[in-house]
Amino acid sequence: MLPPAYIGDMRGQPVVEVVSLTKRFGSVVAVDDLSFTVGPGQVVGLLGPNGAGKTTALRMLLGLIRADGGSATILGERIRPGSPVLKRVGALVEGPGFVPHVSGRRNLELYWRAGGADVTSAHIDDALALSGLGDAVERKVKTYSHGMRQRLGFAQALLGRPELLLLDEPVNGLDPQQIVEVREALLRLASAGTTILLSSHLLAEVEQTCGFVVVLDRGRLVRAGTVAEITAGSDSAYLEVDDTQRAWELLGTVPGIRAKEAAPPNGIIVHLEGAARSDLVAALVAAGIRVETVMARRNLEDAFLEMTGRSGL
Amino acid sequence: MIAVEFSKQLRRWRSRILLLVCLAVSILIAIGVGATANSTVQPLGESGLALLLNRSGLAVGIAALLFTSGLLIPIVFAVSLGEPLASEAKWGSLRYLLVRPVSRSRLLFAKILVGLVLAIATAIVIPLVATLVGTAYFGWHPIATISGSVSSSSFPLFELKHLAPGAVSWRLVLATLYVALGSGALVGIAILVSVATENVLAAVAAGILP
Repeated sequence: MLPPAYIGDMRGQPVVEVVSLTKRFGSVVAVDDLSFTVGPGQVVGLLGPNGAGKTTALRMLLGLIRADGGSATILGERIRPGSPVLKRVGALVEGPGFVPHVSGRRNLELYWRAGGADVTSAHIDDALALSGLGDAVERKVKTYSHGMRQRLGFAQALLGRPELLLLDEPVNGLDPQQIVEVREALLRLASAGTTILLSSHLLAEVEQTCGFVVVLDRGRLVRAGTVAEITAGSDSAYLEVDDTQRAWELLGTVPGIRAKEAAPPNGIIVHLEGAARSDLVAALVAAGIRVETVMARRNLEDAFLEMTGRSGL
Repeated sequence: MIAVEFSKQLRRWRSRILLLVCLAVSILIAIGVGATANSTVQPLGESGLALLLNRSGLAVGIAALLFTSGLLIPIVFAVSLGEPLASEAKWGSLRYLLVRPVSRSRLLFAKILVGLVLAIATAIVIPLVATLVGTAYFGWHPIATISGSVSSSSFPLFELKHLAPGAVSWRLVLATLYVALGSGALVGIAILVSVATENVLAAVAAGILP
């Protein structure tokens, strides 16, 4: 049995602890001997291509399906269907699901009361404020667009100010503005101490939202660590300079560079092909450009493709 | 959980339409019986004969129960009990009920209990409304029954017995509950199918076809 992959600086009791979790559907092994932990206050991205086992792992964590092997605990309690600890967990898994003939607000009330709790403890207005659904919450759900249903699903997950959020593709189907809003809401929740485990196949989204990443492929753990650890590599460099315009032009003349990416507000990511990071710094300084930061960097997509050997998601 | 389930089901158009259909059917039966009783055409069949012997609103209630116990009441039960779980599975809201800190058995109990209460309430509407309409038409009179003793050895003559309206009312309530429970037993299959499928039609059909 593999020990759980501890991510980052683990202090106190893990919020999520997955040990050798396995799930088979017939001859298909959807999740294979998966182990990882999530610490208090961490924002962890469960990353993998379609069919990697992300949703299956989340379903087992919520007691929606039974594991064939291993164990999953949340806040120290082993998960089984209807576990009492689930009242401390907010979830959005396999897309939102609502009773269509009642309003969004009524759906939230019914969901919360189904758990035996008084509706005043749900803090519905706080959840709605974070989800940004606006007045539409008073309309029947059958009139909602996909994005609105996704926002309501997000609000539902936030009811009762949960200690742990399990979110399966939370920005799926949202437009860019909505994605930014959800990301900001997640970061606000994380800064308030909420632990978040979210699955996604959107690498850039995970990179901007999560501090930690668990990479899955074909049901198995490929790697776990901080985003910085995962993206650290020798084939690229991240530079912060005082004059990005001049630096951009100058770097175009330096040999051994494969490509450049802007990283606003004042950063440039350089993909190296022979050049050393010290060469870049030397060229910039010689041209009178101040270099504030230089660090080895790949983006998460590069790292992911390298780990899984895939050409795409 | 039970209050939540009542809230969901009572807000549904399906529940309201089912109730309206039962109301309409019971009124139509009452009108039909009234029209037949006044005509010179003798309806065939045991129930028709029995009804002509009785010009009482209670007889109309009995007729409504007899006419609907074969199909309409089983449909009411199959829809009320087989449809809610399959519908929630289709909408995806069942998934979120299952991640609440509530046991599966409690969840299922709430669904079945609410379905049963609503189905029985809807089924009761049929003889109740038919009796009321019939009473308005014929009045509130004793019922003559032909289930009395044989009074002749050479010819099978039946002795008419009259039952007081109060006694008939209790019998009608018991008969309604008997029909309801019979239908409820059959739609156990609908519940079984509804927990295994998102196909609402399949779940409802499973409660009627047996």
